Amino acid sequence: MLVLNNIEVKYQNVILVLRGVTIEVPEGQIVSLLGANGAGKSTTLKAISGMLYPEEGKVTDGSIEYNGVRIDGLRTKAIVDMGIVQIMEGRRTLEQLTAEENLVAGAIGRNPTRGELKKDIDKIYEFFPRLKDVRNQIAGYLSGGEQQQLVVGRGLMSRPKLMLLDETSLGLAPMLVKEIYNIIERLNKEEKISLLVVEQNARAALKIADYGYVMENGRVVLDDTGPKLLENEDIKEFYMGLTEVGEKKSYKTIKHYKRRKRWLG
Amino acid sequence: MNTFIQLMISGIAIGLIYALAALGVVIVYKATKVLNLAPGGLLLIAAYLAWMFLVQFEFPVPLAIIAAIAASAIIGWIVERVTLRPLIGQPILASIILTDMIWFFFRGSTFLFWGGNPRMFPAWLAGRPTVLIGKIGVPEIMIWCIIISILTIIALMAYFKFTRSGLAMRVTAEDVIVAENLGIKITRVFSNTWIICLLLFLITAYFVGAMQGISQDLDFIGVYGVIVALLGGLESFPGAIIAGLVIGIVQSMVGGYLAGVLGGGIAETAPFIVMFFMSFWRPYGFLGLERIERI
Repeated sequence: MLVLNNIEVKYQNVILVLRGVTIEVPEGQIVSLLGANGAGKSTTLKAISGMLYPEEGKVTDGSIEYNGVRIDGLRTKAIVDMGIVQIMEGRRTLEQLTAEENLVAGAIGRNPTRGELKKDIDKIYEFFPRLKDVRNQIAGYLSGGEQQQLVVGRGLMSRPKLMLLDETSLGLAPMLVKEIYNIIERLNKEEKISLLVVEQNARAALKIADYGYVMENGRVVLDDTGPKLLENEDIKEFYMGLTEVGEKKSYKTIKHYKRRKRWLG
Repeated sequence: MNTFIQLMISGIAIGLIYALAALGVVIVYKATKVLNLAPGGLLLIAAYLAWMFLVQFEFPVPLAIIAAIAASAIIGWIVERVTLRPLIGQPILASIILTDMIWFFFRGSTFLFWGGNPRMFPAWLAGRPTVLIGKIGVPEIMIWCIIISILTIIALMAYFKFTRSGLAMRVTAEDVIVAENLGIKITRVFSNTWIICLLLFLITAYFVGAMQGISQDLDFIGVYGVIVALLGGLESFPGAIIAGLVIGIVQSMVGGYLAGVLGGGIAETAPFIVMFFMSFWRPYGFLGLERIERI
């Protein structure tokens, strides 16, 4: 469905952020993208959704193909119309608008009829029942969890076939993270939406993922199926803070960052 | 007492005119973040276009008004498309200075096409009688001005609340990146804001033209428009309306009561004095936009 072929992204023509990233999102699957801060996960998503140019970034090499059509270099509007929507990092609700207006805003781009719009909104309320209760409240006053649901719902209003989620669990309580991820899984199963999920919360993301990629320094350093990555010793240690129980730790293993450098450098 | 009410009514009428001009500035600022310094020039061109269709071409009245609306909308579209759109992504100051140049461009072109002689709207518009309400004489045009301004403001609010392009405008005003991300056509939103801006100036131009005649001096109303917008907080519609009324009433009262003591120019200076002291009290204007902070 979506294929990133060895892409390279530069900001302002100087800062090389992605150096040859190859990722594939097959139809109907959930693919997660893990990595530390600054690894280039968000940049990868922005490259797909065409949101690089406000930051003066550009795909300078490689290609991004969606169902066989090259989409790198297209404007965001065109990409959204094709069915790819990015849920941006940091809960960007439209604070002065009501919750329902936020949802409608997600659909303006494809200009639906009134009936369609109503039906789509009802469907969002079905997935996120909480939003129905707060529909007429100003979005800025909603709680963090509600805002995150709202933002995901707003993205769904454009009827995407592929959704790019950027750090959806950031700053949410563990229970809310679970809730959101349950819904995301349902979206994938029931609405047949393919997902590319960027996360720092490796466990949450890998649990639902069919396939996973680990990025570091603008490269993919590890990729495997979701369950296998969950079992991977390095992933366990670096991203989940687990070490083997009962084993005596040496100085080297305590200093995570030191080993990490060797592994990925 | 009668004088007071008389001054009050003319203050409100003038204030609403300023408020409409200021709303044009506010709408453009909110959506595009460009402080529009051009209302002077845009108001002039709108006024002369209105005059051209009514008097010069002698169109029937409804047709002349429709033609003026269309022409103003086209000018708004052209201004955005030709001058400001190429500057998207450049430093915002470039756009602001450009609007200043647009002002002088249109001021100059009114001299070019219509010369420097003052023009008058036809009598049905400019020559309205003074009507008596009780014992108070009020120019009828002022009453019309108040009614139509209020209707315009209501229509504008309804546009933002109930239409999709209005919603798109609010989304863009709040967060351009999100708007882009949702697949909203931002360039269309930008040109829509300029079209609405010009239509507001056209309404302003009809009333100012009817009250004072049309000449190149009208661009002062545009300057007041900018000041009122700043005073109102630049991002707030209610702020612009309140500020417009305050300035209008202050001007009218000062002109009525103090002009004899302090000289005729005091009425024109009063808004600036108000603005000066306001900037100590609330530097961000009456109703600078309240950012939501959850506690």
